[in-house]
Amino acid sequence: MEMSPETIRALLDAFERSDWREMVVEVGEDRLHVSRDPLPVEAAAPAAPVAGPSAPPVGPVAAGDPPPLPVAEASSGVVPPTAPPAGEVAEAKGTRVESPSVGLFWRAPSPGAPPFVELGGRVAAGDTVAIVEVMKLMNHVPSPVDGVVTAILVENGGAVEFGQPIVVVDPEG
Amino acid sequence: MALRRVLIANRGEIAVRIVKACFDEGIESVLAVSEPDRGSLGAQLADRVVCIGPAAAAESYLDVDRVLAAAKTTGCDALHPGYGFLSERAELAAACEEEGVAFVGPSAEAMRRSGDKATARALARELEVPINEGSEVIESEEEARRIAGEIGYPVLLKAAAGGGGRGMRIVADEAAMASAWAQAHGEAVAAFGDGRLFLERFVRHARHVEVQVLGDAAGNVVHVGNRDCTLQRRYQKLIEEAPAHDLSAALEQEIGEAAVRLIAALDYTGAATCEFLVDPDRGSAGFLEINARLQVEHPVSEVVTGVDVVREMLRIAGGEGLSVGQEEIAVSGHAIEVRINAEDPRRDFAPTPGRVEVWAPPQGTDVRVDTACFPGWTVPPYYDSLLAKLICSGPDREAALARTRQALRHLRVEGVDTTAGFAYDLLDHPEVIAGNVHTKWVEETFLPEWNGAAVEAA
Repeated sequence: MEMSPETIRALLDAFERSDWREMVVEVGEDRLHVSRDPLPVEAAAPAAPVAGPSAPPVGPVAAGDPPPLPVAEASSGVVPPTAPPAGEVAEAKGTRVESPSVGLFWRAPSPGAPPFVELGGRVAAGDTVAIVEVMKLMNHVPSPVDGVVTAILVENGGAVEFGQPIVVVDPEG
Repeated sequence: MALRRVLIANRGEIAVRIVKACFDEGIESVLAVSEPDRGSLGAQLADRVVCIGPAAAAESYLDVDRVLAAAKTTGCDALHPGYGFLSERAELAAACEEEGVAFVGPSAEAMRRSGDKATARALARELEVPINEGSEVIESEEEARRIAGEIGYPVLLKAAAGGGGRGMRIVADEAAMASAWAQAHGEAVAAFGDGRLFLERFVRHARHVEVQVLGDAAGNVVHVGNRDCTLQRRYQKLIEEAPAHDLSAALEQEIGEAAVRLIAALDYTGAATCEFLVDPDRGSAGFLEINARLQVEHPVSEVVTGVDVVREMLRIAGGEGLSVGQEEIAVSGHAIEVRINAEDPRRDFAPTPGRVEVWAPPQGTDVRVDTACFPGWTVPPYYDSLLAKLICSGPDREAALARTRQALRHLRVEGVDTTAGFAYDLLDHPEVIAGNVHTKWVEETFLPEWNGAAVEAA
């Protein structure tokens, strides 16, 4: 099993504090799929479902509460860097902007400041779309193209890996 | 508190070795990888993988901030640096201390004191550990001439900050000092940003013998026997064995105790190696330097003592004591490690990166293979060429040598050239079998013979 129970717990926690509708995490052969979309199941985050290598996908899990506000600060603790949901990347049309390093993803230059980009907003090539923080070193990530932001793939304050797509900019938008 | 989750800031066989030790200790392993190492064996075996940067080591395995960010963002409570890369950078140990991540190794302070050759020699002198006759740091060529005159030529010029043979020159006589000084100084500045040099008497038939030491936070220090690493090429070890053969019991005891004294004086936690230069002509040993990290050749010590050096390191970093006392550590039998490199020994050991089409290492009770290699793996061109370590053992040296040659004959690897055939010929040489070699022997005697035989056969 690639995902430990506490990893799954942490993922569910991160999901609950996010504004995402749905989350799919695949680690090796394990797959965790959670969704806020209504299903006739009244369930809070269950106690760490454990997926074995050959176990079927876990979920979907419906959270009863409305989505909370996006968290503005890095969740300390365990936020394992994971590949973004494959579907989401595939859906968003345009050029993927990849993280230049392992680190933390920030949408704004400082807490409370307006974000560099919004979904649907226009950017010019060279404009900063996000910051990836590596041990207090702020790396501004530029857009490689002029275009429209069609996806922001990481939660503010989330952990990212080198090469992970973080924002999608559509040059034809 | 025992460790819960460890970030491994390394690659290749040592990453696999540390993943195994984490598994054995019931600790989760998180492997930091560069982009081309995403599919490595270590990445497949670790509990979790985090990609920290591109192929260039400077932006991945050598980047303190990225490595530390990987540990923090994955919730690791400790970091194991392996060997090479950042393992001897006090800066990383200090940054870990600051961030509350346990560094699996010594404190930054202990690392600085042990890693600087001049400081370590001064400490040895203070503790009355025998040192190969030499100097303190030398300021000028003039001073080098004066001291070399006192010690007697030939002498060896060495960089105070150095390692791996850089900033090192043998000076045969006074006439050669001027150019040797300039070259060694220049290399030391270029390689380490530190041009300080010292010199020592050059022993013609020198053997390289080292002692494996472990120290815990409670101040317990033990040695795990010694190793002989005399078979080298350009200061790179080729074959190592444990224990060093034909040392007098008195000399073995002397270096073992000296190593423990040195490490105990440094408030040192983790694994360390104290290197000695043994002069068989005089039957004496002189302290050379301390390596403040896990070493490539640690398995031979593990095999002959049963002490798991990497697990002990993890225990120590978690604040647990050593699991063994000195009186419980006994050396039994003999072990030999051969480094199998992806290199072509017929082309001056040029690296041969590429796809490993066939990989079938020998299996047997007396054979241990530490490797990150698997069939279909591509040896990337960005890092060192170590493919595997073949560790064979037997009740005595003769049996271990025979077992090693047998294992080398059975190693099947296709797709990349390796040093296995070269190692076989080396271990089949009468002088190696007799143990009658010195640290320059491979370059001065063996390789000219070996290359000559190849030319004749052609």
